[in-house]
Amino acid sequence: MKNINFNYLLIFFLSLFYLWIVFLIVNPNVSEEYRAYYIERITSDWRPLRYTAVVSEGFDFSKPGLPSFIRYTAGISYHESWGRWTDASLKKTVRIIYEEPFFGDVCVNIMLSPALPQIGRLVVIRFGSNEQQFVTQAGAQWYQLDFRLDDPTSTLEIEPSVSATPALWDPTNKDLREISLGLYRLIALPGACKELESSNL
Amino acid sequence: MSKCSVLRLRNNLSDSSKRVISRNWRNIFFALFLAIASSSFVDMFSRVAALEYDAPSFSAAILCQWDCGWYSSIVADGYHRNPVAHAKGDAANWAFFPAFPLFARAVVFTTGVSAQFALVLTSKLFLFLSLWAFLALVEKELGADAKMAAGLVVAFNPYIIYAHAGYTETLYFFLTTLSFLFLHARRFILAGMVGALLSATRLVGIFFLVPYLLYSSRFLREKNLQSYVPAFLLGIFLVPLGLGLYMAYLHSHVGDALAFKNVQVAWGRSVENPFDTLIAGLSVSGWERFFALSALASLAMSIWLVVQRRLDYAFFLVIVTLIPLSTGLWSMPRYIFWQMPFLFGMVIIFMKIRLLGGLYLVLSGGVGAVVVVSWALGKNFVI
Repeated sequence: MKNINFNYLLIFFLSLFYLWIVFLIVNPNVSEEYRAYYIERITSDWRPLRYTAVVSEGFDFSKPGLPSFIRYTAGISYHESWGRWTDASLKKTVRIIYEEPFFGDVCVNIMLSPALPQIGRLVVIRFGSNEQQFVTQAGAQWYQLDFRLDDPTSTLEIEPSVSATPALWDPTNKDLREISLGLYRLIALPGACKELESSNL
Repeated sequence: MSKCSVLRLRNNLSDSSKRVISRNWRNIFFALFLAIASSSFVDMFSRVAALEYDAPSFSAAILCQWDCGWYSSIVADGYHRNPVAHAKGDAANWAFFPAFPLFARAVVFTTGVSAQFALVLTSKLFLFLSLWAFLALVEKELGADAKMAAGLVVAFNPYIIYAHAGYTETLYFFLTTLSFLFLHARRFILAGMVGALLSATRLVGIFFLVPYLLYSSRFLREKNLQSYVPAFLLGIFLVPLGLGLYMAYLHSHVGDALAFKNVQVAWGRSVENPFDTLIAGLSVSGWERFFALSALASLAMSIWLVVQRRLDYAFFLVIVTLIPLSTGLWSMPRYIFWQMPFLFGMVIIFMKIRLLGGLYLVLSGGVGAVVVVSWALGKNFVI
């Protein structure tokens, strides 16, 4: 009888131990970058190269690595000589997190080129709770968007309408990425776009 | 103990106990002979590789390649705190479970040899124990006649290099065999404890729970069921303990209890439908097709084991085949050829069709030789 009780006691303690393990699984104690790369697998960058740049220079996607004012990105494929593709197999909505938050008027300039299925389709850009959209045209084009941020925000999101593997329009292509927008440059500047343009003039 | 009391003890042993002890000694000597023969086989073909193909002669450094290198980093310096390896710097040794490097660490501690040499030595030691345990299991379940076939399919496994190269294969094989031995002897707590070591050796080890639970169907209708239940339940709770402890360690060390799974991204591995992987592998040429065929052979063996009413072996084999298959085809042959139920199934076949056993042994020796030579030459298809 004593043995039986001892067995059940051990089972009880082991059950508690496994419950604690489940708690540890759902509550990892890791950095945001670790979570994005290893757990959520929404970014292809792990400790990417960092180059010194200021916000006004913008994010040049043709340069390898990330500018110093960007903390990390999600939903963007690896670096290519011209820039980087969005990759829905990582994350449907691209997320770019700045080191410092923006507040008030912000002018976003983005240069991108849509993949074939995305041409003439809507792209939604979100900056915090604000949302702007535009329709893409073929080839690499600049798009300008005005945001008014009521709260400090450091996350910019880009959501294309369609993402697909290149095999959809080129059966010989074995690339497994789900691409949509070829990203060339992204410049987010404090201030309304018109004011910035007039001050530049 | 005096000479007199030893003699008295010997006289008191029943005839059946004497037979068991003598059989056990025979198994130990046979296992030792086969382990030495297997080691000589690997050594001989490594010399061929060195003489004919200018491969470096076998040393601990040459034997301890690929995964053994990762285990060696664990034995020497423990688990990485941050990812450090591969071009991107995203790989870490968390993917490699702790039981095997812990045994090797004990070898380093007791003998003072290098981490690489200790890993090689540990895998060789567990080859001997695997042979001994498998001989005992086969003798118990198929009879003494099957022992020769059993010993030969392990000692001259086509992927025998892994028994001598500082890999987990032999420890995993030994623990699987031992856990089934205890389970079938209804030593549930011991089976659970060995199962705990199994789940600390490889992730698939935790799936020993499936045959364990299946086995309960054998005694559920027995009258003295009550006497089994507490030990049986405790056995169930013991099996995941090894994995649980490793996860707790990883959480305290890295902050991520699932780091062993999450770090697979550094090897480009993600979980897919295993049947899609299998079909994709069969539809291409080259090594991937061979790897896919190995997985297919394992699934076919599972069916054969079902036909033989060895459901616990069959289900265990299916699971331990599908799980690695869901992450890719690479390394499939060594996973399959070091699965105890797979070799057990082969022994049953060879006992029924003895000619097939002879043919298999010739083929297995040939493949084994090629694999040893390829290993010495650093070919990556054997990893």
